[in-house]
Amino acid sequence: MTSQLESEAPRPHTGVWQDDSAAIPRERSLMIAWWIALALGVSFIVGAVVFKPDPYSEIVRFIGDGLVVTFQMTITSMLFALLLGLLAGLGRTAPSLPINVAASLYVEIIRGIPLLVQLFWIYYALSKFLRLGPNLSAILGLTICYGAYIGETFRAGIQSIPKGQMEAARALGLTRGQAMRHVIVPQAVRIILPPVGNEFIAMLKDSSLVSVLAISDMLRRGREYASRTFAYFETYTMVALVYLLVTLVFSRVVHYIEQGMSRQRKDAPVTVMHRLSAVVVDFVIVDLIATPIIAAMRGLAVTPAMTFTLTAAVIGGLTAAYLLGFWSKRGQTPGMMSVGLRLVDAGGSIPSIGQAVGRLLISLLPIPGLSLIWAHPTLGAAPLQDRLTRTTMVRV
Amino acid sequence: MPDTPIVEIRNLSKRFGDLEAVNDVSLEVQRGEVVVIIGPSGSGKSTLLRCINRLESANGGTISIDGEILTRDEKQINHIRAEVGMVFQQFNLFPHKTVLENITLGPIIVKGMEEGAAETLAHTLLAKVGIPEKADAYPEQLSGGQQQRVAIARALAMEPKIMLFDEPTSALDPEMIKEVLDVMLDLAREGMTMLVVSHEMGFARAAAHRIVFMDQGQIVEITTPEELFTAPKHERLKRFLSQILP
Ligand SMILES: Nc1ncnc2c1ncn2[C@@H]1O[C@H](COP(=O)(O)OP(=O)(O)O)[C@@H](O)[C@H]1O
Ligand SMILES: [Mg+2]
Repeated sequence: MTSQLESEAPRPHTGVWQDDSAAIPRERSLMIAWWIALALGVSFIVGAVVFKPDPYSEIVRFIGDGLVVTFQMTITSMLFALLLGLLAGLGRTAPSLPINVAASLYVEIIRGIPLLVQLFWIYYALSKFLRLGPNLSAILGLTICYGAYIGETFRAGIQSIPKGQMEAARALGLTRGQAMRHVIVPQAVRIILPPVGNEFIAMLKDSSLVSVLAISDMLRRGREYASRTFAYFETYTMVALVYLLVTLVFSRVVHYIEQGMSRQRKDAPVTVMHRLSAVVVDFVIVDLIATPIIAAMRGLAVTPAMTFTLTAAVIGGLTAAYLLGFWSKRGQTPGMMSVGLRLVDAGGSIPSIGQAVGRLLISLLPIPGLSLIWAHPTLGAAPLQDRLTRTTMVRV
Repeated sequence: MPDTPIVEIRNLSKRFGDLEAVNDVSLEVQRGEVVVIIGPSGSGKSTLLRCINRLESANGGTISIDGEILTRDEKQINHIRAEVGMVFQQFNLFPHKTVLENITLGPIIVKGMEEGAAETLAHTLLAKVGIPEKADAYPEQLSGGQQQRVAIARALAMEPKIMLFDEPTSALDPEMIKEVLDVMLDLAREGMTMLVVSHEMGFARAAAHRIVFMDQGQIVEITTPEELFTAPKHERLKRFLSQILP
């Protein structure tokens, strides 16, 4: 009759900060493979554009337009999927049975249907009652599908926090909600971040499926070009390579996040790659926050130039608020935290001049959010509907 | 009414399925009293403590804290928990917060204390538990003994009326046990009401007013530190003592 509590006794809990990242040789070979893939991809694209500008340079310009739409779709859907996923995850760990069942039902149903089928269903089947249009259907489909997967990631993260954490918080008199907010979720986020990063990459790739809804994402643009010029090999090779490069960049970022989460505050070497990764993460976060605000403000703008000014104001303001909120108060932004970067030690003492300059430089980097590029009159994409009218609907 | 007991447990029962973890236990603890609870593993010591701050809800009987009978009301439970400090075997510090933040969380969130005031309080408590220099460290940077002392400071920050200790030193390396017991001894001398599950007999002898021996979910014997060794009445207690004493 040994107590369950006693048998777990010997090792003091050090929680998620435990460092068990022993040097794995696999790590090294992966890193080498990453560099080779990146070098091959970049040199092929650059080489093709330089030595055979016809048709490659035109292809790159054509599908580049689509890449912006791909990002737009992914970022917007990711934002909603994160919110939906948080609800699903909290629901799946809630003590109330009805809430729990509702959340589980959502997860089970959605995970059982392929994304492509969900997209068709929302766009074509649902149109019997409700015409959503391609953009909304695509975002809704990606959101609902990924909300379920991200919800499961959240659930696993929340449940991986030792029971003693909730008990210690409750013993202090915190309510369940307060304990979730101040104790459980902040710890779970650190565990959840790498898998959520992977979901982001998966969604970026899966967003190519929305091309069946006649949305001019990268794949769709490629197909339009290829069907007009019959340069199938050249076009699809480029499309594949651009997807590859984008995915490679983000997967490296996720890798550093993973590392940052386990090495945390120990003084491991910090490379330029870590700093760049931090910037990419901050960049994506600012963009996630900016997306709905910009979408709402689009309605106010009359001219493209006005759209650009408004977007710039939103992004600028958000970036400033973001940096003031996180970096100046805690000496690190979420991006820096996620890869284990910290400019000041935990004490938060007054920085030296060198540190202050370093901070300023880093803080300037994430300013040009993707949203800004989209909104630029010439760089950015024209409203999606405009492009749709330019292409003929291809049956799939 | 200084004579009302600060903790009054009447016929408390707690079942896990068919198992009677705590079976018809009654116990009164007076203000300023230090009660040490001993007993074999699985005898219900932790469950008894956890019922007092409602980490477990009892199946039968009543508990009153400072004259207030515990109910199922969430508000009351949170309010009672804020008055009852608890120190766990596994420390359960919040790993994502600094030592200072661990200590100030309760006062700021539950009591709505100003951040500055909470930090001043935290520094005072850290000095009291002997690690004033660790305020900005993270729990993982501390030794087990230091972590447990932070956990004590965290509980004290709520200015509790009672402190519950559930085997506070049994996850510690031997050389760190004393530093934690010393802090507890200081607390006892200051007149803190304490319920301590521990088999540290040195501490019991120095600080305990009464010793409660539990076995199979029941209180078998209540005695004093002096009589525990010289005149244990029950056979089960004698057997238990012969097992834990070298
Ligand atoms: N959450 C639980 N679920 C089921 N059984 C439990 C639970 N907690 C404790 N028990 C059982 O209750 C009994 C008393 O446990 P506990 O109070 O932890 O004893 P002690 O602290 O004296 O070792 C043990 O048999 C233990 O296995
Ligand atoms: Mg126990």
